[in-house]
Amino acid sequence: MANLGRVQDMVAVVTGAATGIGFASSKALLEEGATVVMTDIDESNLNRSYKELSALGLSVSSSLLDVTDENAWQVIMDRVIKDYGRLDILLNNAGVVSHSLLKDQDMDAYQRIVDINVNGVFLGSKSAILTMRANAGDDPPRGSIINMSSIGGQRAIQTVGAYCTSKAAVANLTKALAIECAEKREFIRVNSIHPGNTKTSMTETIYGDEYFEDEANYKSVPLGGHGIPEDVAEAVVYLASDEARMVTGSELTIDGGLSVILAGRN
Amino acid sequence: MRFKGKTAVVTGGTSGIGKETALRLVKEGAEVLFTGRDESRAEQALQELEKLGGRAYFQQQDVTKTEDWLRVAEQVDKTFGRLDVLVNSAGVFTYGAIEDTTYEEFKNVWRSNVDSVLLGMKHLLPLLEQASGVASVVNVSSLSGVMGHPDCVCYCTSKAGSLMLTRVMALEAAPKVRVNAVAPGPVWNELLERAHAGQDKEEMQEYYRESQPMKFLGDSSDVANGILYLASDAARYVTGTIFRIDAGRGAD
Repeated sequence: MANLGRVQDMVAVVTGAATGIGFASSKALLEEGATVVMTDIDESNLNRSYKELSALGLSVSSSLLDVTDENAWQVIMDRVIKDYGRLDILLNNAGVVSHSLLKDQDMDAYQRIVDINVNGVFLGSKSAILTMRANAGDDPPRGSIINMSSIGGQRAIQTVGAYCTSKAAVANLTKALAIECAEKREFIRVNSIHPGNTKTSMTETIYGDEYFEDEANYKSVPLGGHGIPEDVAEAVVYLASDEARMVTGSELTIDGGLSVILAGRN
Repeated sequence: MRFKGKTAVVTGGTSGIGKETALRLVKEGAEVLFTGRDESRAEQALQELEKLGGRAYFQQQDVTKTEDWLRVAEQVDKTFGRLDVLVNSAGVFTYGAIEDTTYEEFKNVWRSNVDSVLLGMKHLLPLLEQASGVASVVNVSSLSGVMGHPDCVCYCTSKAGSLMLTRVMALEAAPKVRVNAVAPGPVWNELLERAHAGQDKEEMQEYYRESQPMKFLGDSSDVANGILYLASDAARYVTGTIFRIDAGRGAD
């Protein structure tokens, strides 16, 4: 990605930033001029990823964060304000999946998915909106919240039913927040991204290491092949930047065209 | 310079979203053939494009006519030898209750907003398939293709048609060509200004601004930004997507 300063001097918080889409998005936002606070619950991966990005000489910091912990969100936001003075971008990216038919779904695993994928996005968004409203000099308040949903939030994918349920909730939570902020005459924009078949540590866990090596698994993807975290990071930068100042409550699907052929429920 | 070395065709390029998209593509390094019906407006657009130091060409075109598309294809082949980006921005807007709408008007709007996209795909696909990388088509549909409005049967129906055309073409043209659509809400540009000629400009802007959930009235550049994202290699894994740029209007 070329450095065009598309999010120059903006302050961003990214959850699930240690690996995959969160890591690629943190890197892209940094390269386009933002200050990024990388957060994750996985301390060793977060430290490794933070070191890799801070070695680029860009404005980055890291913080452990359990997205389901309301107090922890308060601590993060207080720190962001203390260190950088404002918040412009929140990428709610942290998420988990479990592989099971719904009839066999383990309830603890189900609750964990709902807590992280749905409640984590709710808590993060709420904290970010309150923080953005307090940004000095912005009247009306402004900012960009980007929620990571999935094509599983738009279509049903068998064997990850609980994940699909949570991601559909993220998609509609996004729209509800977008309308709520808009109706308050604010310029806090809230959008969701819907990746499909993207190779990350999370999807490798679901499908296994070999899945992404076998072209036969993408026969049904119109563009062929799988997506990479950088594909999603490009969309994050666009939605975070003022280029998307008229975009709120929108869904952006990045799936090689797969959802077009998953029935006609567009 | 996301489009350095790329070639592009933009229909409806003499005004509004099409003109802004053509300007932006040139600014970011593309060579652009833009088309439109109005030669005097084209002259002005051409001057603006050349002022950017870019290479731009104009061809007069009625997007509903097969012979005009054949001439565009011939020109693209001669000038570029291939095509990387096609932006179908030409279209018409009409409104009126169904009892006041003639069948002729319905068919005309359909021809301008749907046949035009089909013909563009049909006649430029061979050149798009010769692109060095993956080529990209962006169709300018409308929020009116996603949600219905009263007294707007011609426009809404045609814009919904262009959205399904986008999805089917995405499947047919893959993997060599990506096909996506933007669905903009109202933006203030010379088209809207012309549509409200004689009315108070600030009052009309206020009306459109207040009709959006987010009280923001964008302009052509807001749609062009989305088109450029979808047209660029940044969206290399995006096809068959309908992307709303509508200040939240389609979210509720």
